[in-house]
Amino acid sequence: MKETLFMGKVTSAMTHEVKNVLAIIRESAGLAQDLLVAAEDKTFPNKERFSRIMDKIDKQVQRGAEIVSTLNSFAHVPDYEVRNEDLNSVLDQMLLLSGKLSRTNGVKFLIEENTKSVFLEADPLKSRMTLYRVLEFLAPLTGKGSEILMKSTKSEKGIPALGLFITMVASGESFIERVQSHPEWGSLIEEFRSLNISIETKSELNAVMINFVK
Amino acid sequence: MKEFKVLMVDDEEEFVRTLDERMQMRNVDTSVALSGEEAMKKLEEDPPDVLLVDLKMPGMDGKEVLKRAREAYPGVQVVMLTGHGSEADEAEARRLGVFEYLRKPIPIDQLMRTLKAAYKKKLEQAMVAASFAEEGDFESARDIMKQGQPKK
Repeated sequence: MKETLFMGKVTSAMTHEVKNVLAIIRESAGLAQDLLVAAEDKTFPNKERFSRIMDKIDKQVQRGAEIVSTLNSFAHVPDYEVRNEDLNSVLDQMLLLSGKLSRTNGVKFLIEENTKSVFLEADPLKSRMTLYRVLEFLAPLTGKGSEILMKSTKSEKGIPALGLFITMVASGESFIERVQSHPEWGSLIEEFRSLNISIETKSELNAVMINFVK
Repeated sequence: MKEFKVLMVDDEEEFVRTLDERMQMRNVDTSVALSGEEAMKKLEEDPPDVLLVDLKMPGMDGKEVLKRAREAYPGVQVVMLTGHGSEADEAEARRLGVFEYLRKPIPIDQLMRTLKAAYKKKLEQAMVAASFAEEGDFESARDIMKQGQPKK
């Protein structure tokens, strides 16, 4: 645990540095824009193009700031050995952190808003790791253009759970069969069992459920 | 004629100097301090209407500046602008009487709106405090300047 704490601490400190860099970029681009407006120089041949570039910088700074903020809160996850938290906020955080995974596989990750909170008291790092590992496993199997809709829920026994509902572009072989016959599926089940987390398929829903047993 | 006076405190010199230029173009009378200690000196020499202060700085940090400024210059509104803030930091800043707690990077229009609102609050407080002082109730006038309302 000491190692993860250290990683988190250093990452958190670095995210603050990046935020300052982003703030300087935003203000510098903003100043350039201000000067352009103040000059009112209609002869500047690329004025509109210049403005568009400045807008692009501003939007990307905003995007960067959002990513860095999420990374910062993720870096603080190891601060808690056990934490009671709403699975909806875990989904929000992990949706942004798994953006690269989604793009690499050409699969869209979505969240179905759940107005009800689903609280889980557990090691917050393990719940995130489980979700990421399952997404990492499922994404290449679904195929480009598919969607994985994530939702916080409770199992029939009232256990906090996450449902990953898959919508595929290509039909044919059943997705659930593909999951179950995959050589890694069995070892994934075993890996999570040791963490008191069960993963199971739901053929009728075309979904994979992550149940946080205790 | 500049609209109001803002003292900006941040150890990220490149950031604060650039922001300074942008604020001046928006008719704000600005000055810059690169540390909490320098900010306290400038506050003493020429108190601004609004203090815009970073949270984490070497030496005297933003929370200490906020605390001292609210104590010694209750008429000056303090806005915190930080890239480092946690929820606990924000709660602490609010307890210490910060007008608003903002996170970097922030659009200039949003920052300007906040600073103007802080200045407006300063003016309103001063007017209410003056009316109490006119009635001879200096204690309430002081409380208003410090906490926004009389104790009793």
